Amino acid sequence: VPTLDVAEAYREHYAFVWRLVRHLGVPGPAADDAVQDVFVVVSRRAEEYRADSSLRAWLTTIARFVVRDHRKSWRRRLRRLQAIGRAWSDRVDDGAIERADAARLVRELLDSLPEDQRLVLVLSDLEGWTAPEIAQALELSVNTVYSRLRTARQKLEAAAAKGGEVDDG
Amino acid sequence: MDELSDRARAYLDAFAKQHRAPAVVPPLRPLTAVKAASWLRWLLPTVGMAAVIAAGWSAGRAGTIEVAGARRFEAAPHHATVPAIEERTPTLELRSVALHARQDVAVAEPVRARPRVRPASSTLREELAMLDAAKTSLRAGDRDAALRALTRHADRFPNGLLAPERRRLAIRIDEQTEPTGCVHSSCVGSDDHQESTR
Repeated sequence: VPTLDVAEAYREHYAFVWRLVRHLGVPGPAADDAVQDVFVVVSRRAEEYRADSSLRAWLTTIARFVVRDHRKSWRRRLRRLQAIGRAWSDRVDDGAIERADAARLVRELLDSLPEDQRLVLVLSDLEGWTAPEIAQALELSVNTVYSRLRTARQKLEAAAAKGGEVDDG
Repeated sequence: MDELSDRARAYLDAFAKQHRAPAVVPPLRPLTAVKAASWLRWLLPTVGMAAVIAAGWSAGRAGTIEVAGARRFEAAPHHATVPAIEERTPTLELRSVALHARQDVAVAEPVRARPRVRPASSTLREELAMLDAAKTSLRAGDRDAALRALTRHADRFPNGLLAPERRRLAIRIDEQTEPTGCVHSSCVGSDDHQESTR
């Protein structure tokens, strides 16, 4: 039975897992720790990995639970820090402010979405997965994926319509 | 499936730009090290708490309660069961005296158990000074100075006692400056990562 090379998987999928945990709400300074936590689980459960299944899908499942475990403490800490240091926002240029506002809008939207919609939106529109890939990874029907994606996108469109134009520079 | 509008796509792109993974993959922590760190995270507070309780208990045993004109009560030895029973009554009287004492009756301050506080080591003082400088700069709105102070601390005490505090401050700065740069806590002082996240 072929065994999973954890070190190789880490090198190959580090960037993907890093982005994923960030997309799912882990703040930048904690992202590395979250990624390490994911691969600790991978190390411990390497024997459970089936070679015929998608490693990315498996990593997604693990990352989802790691983020869920730590999400509350991370968000609580961030809210506290944001409350303390909000005055920094006037130190960046206008374009950066607009981009920051856009990113914040998406962050707030993702925070407000139910977890199942959030994950589908992230995998589809930020990671570029197809609906069948998402369905396989999350063990859902393709129709369910489409349904959640449609709902999440509608909320994103509504939030974007309220938020104004984004300077993409 | 409806496609996203350009505006919504632009929002997502702005969001994704903030989430570029570092170009340099950090080394994977060995499982043994992670386990050890996990144990330490549990062990250190537990041992610390036990030490505080032990110190308090020890100081409590050494302490006595004195009231002017009253006899001195001391903790009865564990083996002296009969005297311990006999001392119950005076203990109640003592409380009664204290509650009803007139103001002109001198009641001595009870000797309180004082925790033994070790003076901060020079290393800790140095760490504190550096982080205090960062905090002061942060409050004054001087982000660059705060970052410099954190960087000095990271260089001097990469695994110092106050490293978690340094990370906390880095998060504070990071949250406010995310659009323009990253001050990843574990990379404060490391140009590689800051370059890679631009």
